[in-house]
Amino acid sequence: MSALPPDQAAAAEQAHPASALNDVVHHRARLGILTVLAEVRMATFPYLKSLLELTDGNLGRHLEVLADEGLVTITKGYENKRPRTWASLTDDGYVALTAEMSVLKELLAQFENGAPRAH
Amino acid sequence: MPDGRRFETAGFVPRAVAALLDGLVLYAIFVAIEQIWISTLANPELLLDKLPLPTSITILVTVCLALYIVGTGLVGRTLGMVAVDLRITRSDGSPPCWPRRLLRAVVLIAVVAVLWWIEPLLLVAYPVWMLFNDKHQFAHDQVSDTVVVRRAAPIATPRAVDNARAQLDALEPPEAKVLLGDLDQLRLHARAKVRTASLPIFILGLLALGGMLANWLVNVVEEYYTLGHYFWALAAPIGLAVTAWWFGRQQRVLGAGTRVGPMVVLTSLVACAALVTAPYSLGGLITGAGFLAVAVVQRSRLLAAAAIAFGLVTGVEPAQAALSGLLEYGLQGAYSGFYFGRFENPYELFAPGVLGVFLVGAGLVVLQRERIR
Repeated sequence: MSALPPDQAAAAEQAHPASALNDVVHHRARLGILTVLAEVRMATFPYLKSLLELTDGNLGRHLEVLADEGLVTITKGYENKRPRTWASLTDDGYVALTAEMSVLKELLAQFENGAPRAH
Repeated sequence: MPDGRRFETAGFVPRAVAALLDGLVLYAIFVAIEQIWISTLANPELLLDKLPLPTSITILVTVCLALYIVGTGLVGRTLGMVAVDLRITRSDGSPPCWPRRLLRAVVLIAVVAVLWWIEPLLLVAYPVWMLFNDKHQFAHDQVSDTVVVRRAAPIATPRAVDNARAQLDALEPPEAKVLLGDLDQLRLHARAKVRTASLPIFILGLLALGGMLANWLVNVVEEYYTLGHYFWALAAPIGLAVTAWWFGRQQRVLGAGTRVGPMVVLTSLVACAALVTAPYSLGGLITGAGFLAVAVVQRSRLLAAAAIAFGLVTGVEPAQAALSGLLEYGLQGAYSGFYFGRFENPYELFAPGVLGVFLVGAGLVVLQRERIR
């Protein structure tokens, strides 16, 4: 049990790099973005919006958060004079995604085998 | 301890396809040197007696092959690896320095030389070595502590897993199951939209029909003998270029897709190999190898099966004889053709055409299914 007051303990936990990384990744929409990019290598904004059924603002915010953490790369360009924004996964993004997936599968396997949760 | 990344190592099929393409490059270099030598001879028709190559030419060929292996080893990727989107890393995931890459290339040359000296067929057995270790390493990989990876996709490190475990501590298993299910569906949906095999299969069908025409020109119409022989030098790169254009178009239309760069390298490689080896009737095999590489990059088993069938029927005599035997005599004929050789029947000439019709039809069916998706 932490010796700090609750509000300071919460702030300290938020400041820890581990929790910051996984706050970024462990969000349904962001996991979905990382999963799609892992499959297709690179994708445009409309493609992701259509596949993930997100609004423009929502998707833009999630991509911005992922890009700030270095998990995706955003490339802006033009195609036939039309602006295009491409997103692709970085190495850190692959690592974060595969880590989340392996823990999710581990959690599920423990549950199905009747083993107690590992903490 | 450094948080070293681990990569997904390339399995037997991608490495075999890359090695096949590199083998075609090396063979094309050999043929090119041989052709240059032949053109300098006063009496080239003497080669009909299959005179051995002079020692100087043999040495020149060997040096060129060694330079290719060492040169691509120093760069870090052979042409075959570029075409199939593989690369060499150290076993801990870090990029190998140039001395290590050079060591890998030198050991490869030494192994190839020793195996060739003992028995050339051992070279075909050498790839089996990688089946006996979980990192899919050959001997030259093990000596240089390198691995060949499918793409730059590191997998989870222990630290990242610990981080994820800490964050997911509050997640209940039923929620995890639902989340995993949803992500899997999303992944399959994304893959289905992007991975397309219809046009490459259709193109293979057209090429097979063209190959039948080329056979006819070579064997029946003497005036067009040369055109028939050089058919694949034109058809193969055109077919791959159209395929590369199609994947690029799909990427633009869908807004997602794989990189087209490796396909451009592959098209150039196949074009050179097909042009140089045209007199040796290897065009069908080279074209099949090219489309097999496309199948590996696109991860399409359907296209891989079509490419293998195409390469065998258009480029390998036992397969051609088996197919022509099957068409005339049924299964017994197929068996006899495979083991005892050609039937010299009309079906042999038209065997690629039969495959071509089948592949064109399959391509149209797959296209229809992709449109429904």
